[in-house]
Amino acid sequence: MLRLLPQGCTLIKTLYQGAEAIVDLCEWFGKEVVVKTRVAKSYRVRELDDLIRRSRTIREASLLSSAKKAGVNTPFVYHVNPVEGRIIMSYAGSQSLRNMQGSSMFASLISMLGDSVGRLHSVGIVHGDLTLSNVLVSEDRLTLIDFGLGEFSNEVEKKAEDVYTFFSNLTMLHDSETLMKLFLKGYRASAGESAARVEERLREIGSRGRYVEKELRRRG
Amino acid sequence: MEERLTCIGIESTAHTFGISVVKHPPFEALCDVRRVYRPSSGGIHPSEAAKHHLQNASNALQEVLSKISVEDIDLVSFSRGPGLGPCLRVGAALARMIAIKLGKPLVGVNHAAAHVEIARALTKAANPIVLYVSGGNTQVIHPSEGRYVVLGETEDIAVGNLIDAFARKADLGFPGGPRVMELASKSSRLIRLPYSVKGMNVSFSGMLTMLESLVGKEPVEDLCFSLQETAFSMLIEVSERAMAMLGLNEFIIAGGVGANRRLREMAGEMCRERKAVFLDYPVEYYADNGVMIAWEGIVQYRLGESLNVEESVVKPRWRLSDVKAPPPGLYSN
Repeated sequence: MLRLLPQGCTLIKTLYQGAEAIVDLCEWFGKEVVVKTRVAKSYRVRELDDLIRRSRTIREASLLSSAKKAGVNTPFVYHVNPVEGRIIMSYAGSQSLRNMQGSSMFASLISMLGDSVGRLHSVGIVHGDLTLSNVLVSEDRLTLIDFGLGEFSNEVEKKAEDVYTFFSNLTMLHDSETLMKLFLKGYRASAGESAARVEERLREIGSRGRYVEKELRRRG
Repeated sequence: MEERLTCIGIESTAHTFGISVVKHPPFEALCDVRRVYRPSSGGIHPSEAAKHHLQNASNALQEVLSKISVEDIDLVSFSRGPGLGPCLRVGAALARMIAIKLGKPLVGVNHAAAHVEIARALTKAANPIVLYVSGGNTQVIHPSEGRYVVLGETEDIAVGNLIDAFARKADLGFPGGPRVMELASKSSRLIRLPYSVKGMNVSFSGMLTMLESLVGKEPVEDLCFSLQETAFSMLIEVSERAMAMLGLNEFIIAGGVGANRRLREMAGEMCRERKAVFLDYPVEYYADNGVMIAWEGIVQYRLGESLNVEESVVKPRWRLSDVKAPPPGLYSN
């Protein structure tokens, strides 16, 4: 898949290549940055393709900065080019929560993440793809990345699904029950009044069979 | 090599009543008889469709028997579900009668699995992502480890349902697919419609509402073009996401909407771009047919499935995830 890097940008390495976007680590005016490019799809008519890439790029950039306003650490958006489907943002390192399993800090980081997700939900932001890989750790700070499937929503169902996605990530870990409790403790403290309803819905989702399959598809 | 089996299969889930005889190995369709119900107005009326099937069962069977000899039949299969109850019961009754008369095993097959398996058999796909699209279904499927994993699906109506419902509103007749495709080819003006993809799921009800409100206000060719471009882009996007997530490079489409040239063209383009392969097959096998039921009868029988006549009730809501899938490539000739 081809993408044009912006002027002044030198590719260091490609971090991730998905169906929709390519994420590159680049040098840009002497700074290490992440360049996320939503590539054009030739199967879609040009007009539709432009529309989709443009609106998703704008939405993602706007989610990233709104999250920051809510007190959740996300990459700084340096530059948005909706026409090229490109976002240039700060690089938050390569240490993900997934790599931190087994660390003595892991449990407290999970509780911190609960707090961060609660903050997002309290201002009506749903991440859409909460996984251990999408949470970066530097020292004792968490940075949430990849809001590509995120949206602005206050629906209890969507918030509960958000948490459920993350929990299905945890089920493979040792001591997942305790971790979930820690997450919810952090979540309750910041999610505001809807926390109780989200937790209730979360239990309901767990009892729906279909979500066993959803687990699989969210892992990607 | 497995022993050679010859199966007579009966399809009657919705508008098509089909009987076919398939032999394997090697795969060979000995005959393919179809009688298609066309409603005089509106969409499918289940009891009318069932009446059509009942009226055609005998002449369709006679046509089949004029082409093959009864002694060759080892196995009888029928579409057990999912589908319209009254229609399913016609095919089931005929299948039971043949099985009893010949004293041969009876196999009840899942209609969706039959679509997937005929596509796999005809394309020889080893490990594909399957987009299953028809009047009643829209799913992204991965046959894996003995079962069908549904990775994504519609959250409301099926894409075929979207096309048929729009066509009905625009007075284009039933089924809507062929007319919509023909009219769409006369336009290149895109009207903005809701594009609703969430992860690997899609939703079409918003698009239908908007299309219905535009009938009579915008040229019908433009509406058809915009419907196809928008809905099919959504389907190809979720299919590509599934391929990327599982790292697979084979793609097939199954089900009646696969007969649409534009959808298959987009599938080919998506695969070309990601260096994967879109495996196409003769268009007549995308629509409902008896060949796929006969073939799936052989597949399921080899997996150890068969039914006593007494317990062979139809299952109108049978989910694909409850069906056994054959291992990759096992029966691809």
